[in-house]
Amino acid sequence: MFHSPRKWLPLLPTWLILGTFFLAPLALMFIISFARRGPHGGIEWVEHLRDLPQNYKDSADTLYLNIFWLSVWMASLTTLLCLLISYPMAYYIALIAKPSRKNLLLALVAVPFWTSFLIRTYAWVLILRTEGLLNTALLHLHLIREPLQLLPSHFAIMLGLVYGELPFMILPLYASLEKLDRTLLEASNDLGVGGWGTFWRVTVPLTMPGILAGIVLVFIPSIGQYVVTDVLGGGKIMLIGNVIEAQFLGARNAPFGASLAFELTAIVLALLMIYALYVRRKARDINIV
Amino acid sequence: MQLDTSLAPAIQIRQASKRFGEVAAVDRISLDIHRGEFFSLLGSSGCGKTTLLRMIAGFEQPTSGQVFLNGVDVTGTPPYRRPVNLVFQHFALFPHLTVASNVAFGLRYQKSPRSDHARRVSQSLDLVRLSGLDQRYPHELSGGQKQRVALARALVLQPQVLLLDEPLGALDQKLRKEMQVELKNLQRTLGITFVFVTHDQEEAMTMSDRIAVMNAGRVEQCDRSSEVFEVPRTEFVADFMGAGNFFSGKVVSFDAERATVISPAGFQTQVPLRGQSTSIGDAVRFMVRPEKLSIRHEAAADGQAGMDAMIEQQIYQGLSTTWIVRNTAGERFTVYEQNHRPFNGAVTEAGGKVVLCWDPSHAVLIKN
Ligand SMILES: Nc1ncnc2c1ncn2[C@@H]1O[C@H](COP(=O)(O)OP(=O)(O)O)[C@@H](O)[C@H]1O
Ligand SMILES: [Mg+2]
Repeated sequence: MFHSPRKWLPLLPTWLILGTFFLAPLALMFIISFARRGPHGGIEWVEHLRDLPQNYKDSADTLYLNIFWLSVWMASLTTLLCLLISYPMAYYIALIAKPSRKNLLLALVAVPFWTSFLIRTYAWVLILRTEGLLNTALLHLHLIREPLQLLPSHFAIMLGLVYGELPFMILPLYASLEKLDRTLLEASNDLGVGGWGTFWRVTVPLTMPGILAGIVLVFIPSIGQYVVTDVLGGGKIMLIGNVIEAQFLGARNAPFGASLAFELTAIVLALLMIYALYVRRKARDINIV
Repeated sequence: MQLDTSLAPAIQIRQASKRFGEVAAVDRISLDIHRGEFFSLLGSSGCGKTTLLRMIAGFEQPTSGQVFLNGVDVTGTPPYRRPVNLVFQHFALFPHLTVASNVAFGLRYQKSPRSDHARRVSQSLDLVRLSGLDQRYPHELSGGQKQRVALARALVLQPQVLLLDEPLGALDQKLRKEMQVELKNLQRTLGITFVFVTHDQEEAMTMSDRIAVMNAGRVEQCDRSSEVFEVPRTEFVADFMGAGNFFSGKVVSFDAERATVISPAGFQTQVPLRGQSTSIGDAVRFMVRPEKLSIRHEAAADGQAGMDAMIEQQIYQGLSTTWIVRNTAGERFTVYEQNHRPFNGAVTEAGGKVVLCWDPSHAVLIKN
């Protein structure tokens, strides 16, 4: 493959960008993760070979395992909630809404991107805090007597995450629902299969590429994020992203932070591999991907 | 009152209309389609064939009117509860399922035992001569094979009525002819009602017991196929069946059987009434099919009608020769003549004077 420049030359820019901005930092992190924190926060190389995996040994502590577990859990739940909320919305926009309304609806989905994510997350603080919009409204409606303590909470973080990631689920789902051939739904009906049967046996399998793309696009940012947890968790709830941030910036222990970050990357890569294998198998079976 | 549904027609359509905004895709159509017949809806693109078919399948709700299947009003019944199946124009096979799974798709919801399914699937694939391809995916099949899968998928459910929307439209000419014969045989063997949509009059003639010719959302004529061909009731039907030879005239006398008509082109002839009423002085139009006209160089024989005309063009077509002639009033007529004898290469001069002849009993009065 390296013989003919005609073959590798066009790919060169891609490899350069990928190498500079993705592979090199990753390699750097990998190397650093085997070092240790210097007395003043710098990086110090270990003297003995047996000390190399020390950071990884440290990270196997229940404290971090629990946080990893919680992060996977929160990201999975975020992804699931996004999927459950987005599918009907995308279905409506792609298959039910009048064609003239589609662009407007899609634009509405994308509107939040016009404001910074941080500001939008802070907006939730204004809504959820003790004297916030939600509590004020509920108090006025006499639905509650005491304001709800919603901040900080796992609930608030979940709300913020689902809110923030929703467009990344809706858009790929919409793209694959839009491509769905409606006569296939009619064919299913015609063969005696009603609405639900048709949904599970035709619509879902044929939009699987969109579902998987949405899952990847939501799960990956959710598992590593730290902004939403910082803002809506008030610094009291830590996910793995916050721990890594704290190691790099707070504890000035870059090597340990790097080892945690690398473990996170490994989890994500493993999930991506499963995804890639699935897509490749599907693509070979059927030509819809 | 008890309705004897066992004797009711397979399909009855009563004054059914379907409007899409301003357009009446189907306009007050009433039709009876009998059990076990091969029935065609014939008409040009946009005349409402698909809409009518989809109304029978249950995908379109009529704006007004009713649809009965076996005497039961199914107007509000959803497609998945109707004992009919539709073969879609572009097959609509499920791309994520194998041929076998496509065919088995509807079986899961049928009352028959599960153990029976595999047998029924392979029986159905045998029926359309597609055994051995069960594990293929639709994109690995040719157009003709896809067509057969679509048929097998519908037939495996043993519908009382099979609806087919231009099912041969996507196939090439040769395959199309083969499938026409095959479909017809299949229908005879199974004895179920086929409702077949096509815009091709030859295809409709080849396959159908009866044909409904549609135009702008209405049924122009619904008759046995030979009747539609030989005795078109309207100018549209006559044209659509490839018989564009129209004569006009005035009724000078008539009896129960026929009217005597005098033409401004200067001839007098008789036209069978076939049950239509008329009165003296009526302006009428009648038509004679091109293969029932002949060209003579002398006066018409006894008992034949004749009209002076002039050759405009002669077209040799192998099986037949087509003549275009023009009468003194400038109207054009087409004549087909079978080439019984070897063509001697003689080309008749354009402008040659001839007499256009026909048997008066072959003339067909056209409704205005
Ligand atoms: N879903 C629809 N919305 C609007 N107009 C339609 C729709 N379906 C059909 N039509 C119109 O109804 C008429 C008949 O269409 P169709 O039944 O598909 O005709 P055919 O099958 O004979 O070609 C056409 O003028 C078509 O444009
Ligand atoms: Mg059509």
